[in-house]
Amino acid sequence: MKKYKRFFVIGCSRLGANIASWLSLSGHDVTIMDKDDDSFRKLHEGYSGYILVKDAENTQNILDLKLKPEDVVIVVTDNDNLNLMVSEIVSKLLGVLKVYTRIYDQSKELLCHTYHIEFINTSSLAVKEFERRLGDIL
Amino acid sequence: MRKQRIIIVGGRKKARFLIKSFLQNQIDVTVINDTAQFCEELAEDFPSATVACGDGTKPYIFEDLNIESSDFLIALMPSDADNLISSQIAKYQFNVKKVYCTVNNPINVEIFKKLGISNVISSTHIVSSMIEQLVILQKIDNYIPIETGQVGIFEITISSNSEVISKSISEINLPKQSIIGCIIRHGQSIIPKGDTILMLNDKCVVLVNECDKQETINLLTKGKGV
Repeated sequence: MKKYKRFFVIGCSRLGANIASWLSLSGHDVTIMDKDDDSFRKLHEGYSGYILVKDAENTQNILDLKLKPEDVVIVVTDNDNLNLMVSEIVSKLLGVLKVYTRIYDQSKELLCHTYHIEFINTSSLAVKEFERRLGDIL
Repeated sequence: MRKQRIIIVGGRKKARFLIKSFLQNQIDVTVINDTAQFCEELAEDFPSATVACGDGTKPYIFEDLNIESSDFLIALMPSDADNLISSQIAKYQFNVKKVYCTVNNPINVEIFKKLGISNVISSTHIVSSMIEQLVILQKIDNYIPIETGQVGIFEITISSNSEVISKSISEINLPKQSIIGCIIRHGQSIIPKGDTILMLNDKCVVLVNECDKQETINLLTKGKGV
């Protein structure tokens, strides 16, 4: 039997909204958080998870999520430093084992190599894709 | 002796004030600020400081400025997250010896400490404790908070109507978490024992845990019939 997991998506960016929608449509328990009420319009119309209008910058809001170690947290606001802070708190203080974080500036990944944080560098992923496609032309 | 070096990241009035005072103390000052115009002003006002315009949370800026093994870094940016990251980069990637991180949200003091930044300064905390101190100051002469106020040292002068005059220290039943470390009498210091008698105008230097602070102050200042 599949283990029951809760997913938390911090930041309803285009990326966050898509991940949350996909998780929700695949039948998972999802909570998405963003400071801006308007950003939730990006969610798929079939999204059936929770919506929290709260600012992740206020660390109390992160603590209030009452996360458990087995939860999965996906941190995808558009601010690298905020993503790092939230991931560090979630990983180190709250002991969450699965933390995924979007980051633009690769050089900051070094900072957290001791934590259980998996980085997803969207710009380097895009570069790889460009390389692959341009490879056909060059 | 090698000149000490300090890096100040962000901040406006606070940065300006700090730069001035550090330069006066012969400390080598480097400023990182993301506003070009403010940087120009600073460079003009403080020709002996190094002023760099850029994002103080990017490792490459630190690298360009060669801050490896500097003595201090103070992070004064408006966002707590930025200050945390700047402090961590300085501490872990560039081995800056002492890092001071300021925060707006008081709850971040404890959180950032757990994330490895031992010196976290919250101005909200400081202002509130200053006000608290002003209130207590009416009774005591001086108060030094230690470890963000968990423990404190204060000076208190025994006034003429105090109940503790002519009593020994063991008699007055000081709260458990407090101790009179020193008595200044006629300009002479005495390290008191349990049988030392308290006298009028004795200045007591008291070390006390936050939980027993009020009780200790009350005990030493409580007057006869007041």
